Amino acid sequence: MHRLPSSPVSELLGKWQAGDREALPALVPLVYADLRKLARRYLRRERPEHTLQSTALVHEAYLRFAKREKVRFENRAHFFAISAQLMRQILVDHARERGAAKRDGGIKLELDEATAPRALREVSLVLLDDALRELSHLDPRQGQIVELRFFGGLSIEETSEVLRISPATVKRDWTTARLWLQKQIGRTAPA
Amino acid sequence: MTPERWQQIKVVLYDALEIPPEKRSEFLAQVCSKDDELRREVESFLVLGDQEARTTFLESTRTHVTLPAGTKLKDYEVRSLLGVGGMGEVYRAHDPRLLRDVAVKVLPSIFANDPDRLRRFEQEARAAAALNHPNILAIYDLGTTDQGTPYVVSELLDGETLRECLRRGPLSIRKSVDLTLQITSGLGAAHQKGIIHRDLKPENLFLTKDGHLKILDFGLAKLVMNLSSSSPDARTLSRETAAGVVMGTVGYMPPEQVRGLAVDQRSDIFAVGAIVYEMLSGERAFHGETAADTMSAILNRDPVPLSTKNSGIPPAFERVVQRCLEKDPNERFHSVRDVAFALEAISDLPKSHASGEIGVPGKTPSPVRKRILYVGVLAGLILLLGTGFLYYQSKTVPAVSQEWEQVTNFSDSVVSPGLSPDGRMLTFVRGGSTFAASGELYVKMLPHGEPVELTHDRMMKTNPVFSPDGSRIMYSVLPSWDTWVVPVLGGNTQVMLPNASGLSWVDDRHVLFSEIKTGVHMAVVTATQSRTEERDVYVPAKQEGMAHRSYLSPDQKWVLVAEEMDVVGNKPCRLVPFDGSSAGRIVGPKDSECSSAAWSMNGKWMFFSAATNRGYHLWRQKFPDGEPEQITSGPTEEEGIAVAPDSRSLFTSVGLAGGSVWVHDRSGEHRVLFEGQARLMVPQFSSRAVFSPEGSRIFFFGRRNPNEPEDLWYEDLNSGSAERPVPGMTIAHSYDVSPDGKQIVFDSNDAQGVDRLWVASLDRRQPPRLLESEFPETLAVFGPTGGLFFQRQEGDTSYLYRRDLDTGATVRVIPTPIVRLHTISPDGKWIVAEMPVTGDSTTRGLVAYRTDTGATQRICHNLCIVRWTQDGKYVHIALYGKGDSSSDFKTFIVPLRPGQVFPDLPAGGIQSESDLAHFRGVEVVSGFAFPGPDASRYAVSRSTVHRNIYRIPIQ
Repeated sequence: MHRLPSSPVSELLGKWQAGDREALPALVPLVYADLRKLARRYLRRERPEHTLQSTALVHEAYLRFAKREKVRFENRAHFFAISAQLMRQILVDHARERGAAKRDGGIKLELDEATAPRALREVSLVLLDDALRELSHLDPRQGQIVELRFFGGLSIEETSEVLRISPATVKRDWTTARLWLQKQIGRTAPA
Repeated sequence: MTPERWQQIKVVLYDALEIPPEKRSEFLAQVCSKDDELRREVESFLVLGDQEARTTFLESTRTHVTLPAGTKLKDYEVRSLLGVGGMGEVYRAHDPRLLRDVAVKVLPSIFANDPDRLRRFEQEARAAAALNHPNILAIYDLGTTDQGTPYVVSELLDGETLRECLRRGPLSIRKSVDLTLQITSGLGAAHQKGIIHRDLKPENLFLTKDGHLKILDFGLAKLVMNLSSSSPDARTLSRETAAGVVMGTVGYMPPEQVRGLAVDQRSDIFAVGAIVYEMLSGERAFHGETAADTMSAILNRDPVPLSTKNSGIPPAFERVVQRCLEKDPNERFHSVRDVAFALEAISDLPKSHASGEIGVPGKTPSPVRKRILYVGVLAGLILLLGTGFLYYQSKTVPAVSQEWEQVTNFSDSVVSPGLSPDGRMLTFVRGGSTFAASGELYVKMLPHGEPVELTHDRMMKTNPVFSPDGSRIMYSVLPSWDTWVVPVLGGNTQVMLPNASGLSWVDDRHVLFSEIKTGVHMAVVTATQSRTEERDVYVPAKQEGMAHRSYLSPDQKWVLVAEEMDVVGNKPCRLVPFDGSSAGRIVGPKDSECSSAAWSMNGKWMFFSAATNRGYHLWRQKFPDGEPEQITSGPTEEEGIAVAPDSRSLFTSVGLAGGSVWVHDRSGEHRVLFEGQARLMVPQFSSRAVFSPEGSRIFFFGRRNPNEPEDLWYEDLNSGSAERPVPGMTIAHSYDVSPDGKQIVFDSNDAQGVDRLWVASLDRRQPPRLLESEFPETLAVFGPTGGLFFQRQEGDTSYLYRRDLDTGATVRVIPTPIVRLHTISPDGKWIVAEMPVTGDSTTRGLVAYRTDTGATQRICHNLCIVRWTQDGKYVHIALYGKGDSSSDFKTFIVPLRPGQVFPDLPAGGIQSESDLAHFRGVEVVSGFAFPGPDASRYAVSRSTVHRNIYRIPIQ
């Protein structure tokens, strides 16, 4: 078996995965620059009818990372976990900046064009971020789960791995968190 | 709401969601019996949950399967994630059977639930893949994971999607046209088979690093759309595919598709128009704030004129795009070929990669140069090439169309094409000789892979074929006539079967090959791959017959055989029953020499590469009783046939011989002045000299233009004037000049194809005279002291005879049979021939026979050539130049002591070059040096033949 040579990112991810919480602050700057660059490029290039696809961005970031840093495959979920948090930050910051000029921040998350009612199809990222903050007050773990699943694109299983809780718990928290957010956004969103 | 309260609500809410809606009320009444407020809170969430969107809200996460490295999908081993596309994740994986890396796309698992739909998708994907088109992504395999999730295995591409390319801005007109022609080329092939893409967009067009465009995801769109339009799956699908997918790119669909009406090829044309628009302008043809707005634009609005976006776009161009984007399908171009034609007509651009040329992007030759190239190199063969109009009219073009695609580009030559069972890999031998070349075996991924050298032994090879599973290549090695095997991606070569050549596969276990029975008697046999259950299929009637190559029909009932017969040369192809019940019959062009053959996959056509007096070309004949039709012609020669699995094209080695004759003398080397193609005779054929006795004339075969049959010519080395001594007579194998320089003898076939000897005077005062005989006679040489030595065929056996030219009396010179007469020593005492020797197990190879004593001297064990200078002071001995792939022979010019006829050769004959190289004063010449009157002068043929493999479409 060939083992890929270890890199700083790979090592940090490994440590973090092994439970070393100190590794995270060291990792963030390494990942952040890349994500930010990607997100910026994405936001600059994309056209109005395009909807934001944070999952795709995180994947792209991962692929670039994996290539450059020779990240081992098993670190993937943890990479996404970090990315999720950063991606949320980058996107929401961007949306808030633009929100000064445009009421909804100019970024829409298109959820499902085929079936979702129009009001719910396009969700302001700023509103979502606000609602997510409130949810995190009520249930920090649910906030994390939404971040990982929505901004990081992690599966139920990956989320359970990162948070070290059972997949059943992730699923329950995820389902109910979405309903909570939906209700919260529906209440605050302009008609 | 407090965190504690939410925890309470959360638990009840989740439990309620888990039970059927009709039972929830009862459940809540029970659980919240003491807390009405809790019940109201939970119900307020359940209301949302009952809406359709509950399943989709924020479900922007991957629900794709994620495969870690090392995961096995059937035989494919996942190596790494390549990317996440609209329709699933794409992995790099390894195919251990074919030792190649592939791309595996894992589709969303929702598709697992509908086997019927999957089957239709599979059909369509396979149908598109079967087009085997360079502009369509090659699909190798489809399968499902253990969880039932479908995946598609395809070729691995290096590059980016057109979407990624367009992010850097609009493209030049030239580049846009080039890419569009590639799109239309691939799309045209698909449409011809009734396959519509339905979801063309920049995301589905892949640009490889070498400038080729590949259309991805044929069949996938239909799979998705069928799902989303039919309830109840629609919701499920939406949920699943919405995950991680931007579904908002509706900008390329035509109005009929937006409306949900039937689509046809004109729908794809609309998408092509939208894509061209975007390539040129950098902006979408149709876009709105939302997907619904975009759809509305497609239905109701015309795009902003291109010329306002980019003033450099010619109006004619704009009209083409507009016509693609007509709302009413009837107003659009009716076929993509029309689009291609229109674009070509206005763009003045040559056909791009779409027509299959190999080219380096950015280094494409100018249209003019390209046309000259065609005219110069392939004129006549491809008269119709390069004109868009005829391309457009291709239905009226005869059997072989004008679009030849050069597949290899070696500066020397490659021969013997062989295709893998899936048609994706090509193997061939590098070297000039189509019979067997002292060069290495190569394999190349089609259409644009780099050729990979598989062997490194300089052995003479021929006839490479893939194993049925495509993992190994079997090839014949000469002169031992063994079959060797090498893994497709290299590794150790080893003998698979000794005394077995021209091997091909009957099925996974059985092979068909040629086996030497005795001497040079080679039969076609079949056996298991371990040589059990062996039986004869075809045994040539004559002991000198060598059935070198055999081709089994797809129904396994018939075998086409290419055989070397009698003394020299190949005979017409033969069709024999596989069960060996008869010797079959001759097929293919009459009086031709057949070097190889093939079948169409449906067994309805037989293909031959066969030589008439106009060189080797391809022929075909309807099985069983059609008329042979010539399908290639012109100045090139086509040899070797590998039919693509779809029978729409074949691969052949196309050679352009630029032969010339050179005379070496004290002042250096001079090319004969003859304008045209010239060659000396084949050295193995009998002749003492190619020079006239006094050395002032040189004899050679030549043709002044490609359409002229080859004639015997001589050129006066002083004046440069050239003459044909026997115009209109076709020399079958050899000629010789009489010692007085006044006559020549030659062999020529009579109307029945039987070798006959003729004598003609060089001054043409008398007509050529036939030397009457009841037997076929060939390979004549003038004896130094008068008389004519030649080879006579009596039944299955050939003997050496001498004829008195005055009386016509003939006498057998050597009592035992010979295989092939080579020459006679200057003193007339030694006859050099290939012949069996009593007590010597080596039956091929050169032997000298002393006419007065009957003594024999073995000269070599394999093919070698011996010729003396006319003064008898030097002997030229040539060995097959294994160490020199540029030329088949290496000649050692060895000085002889007075009275010596041979230098001191090893008693058992020459084994290697070192047996010759040590002679004092020896001179070594590349190629075969035909001796002149004395050591001061010799002649060599320089063949500048270039052979490369082409793909030729066949109807």
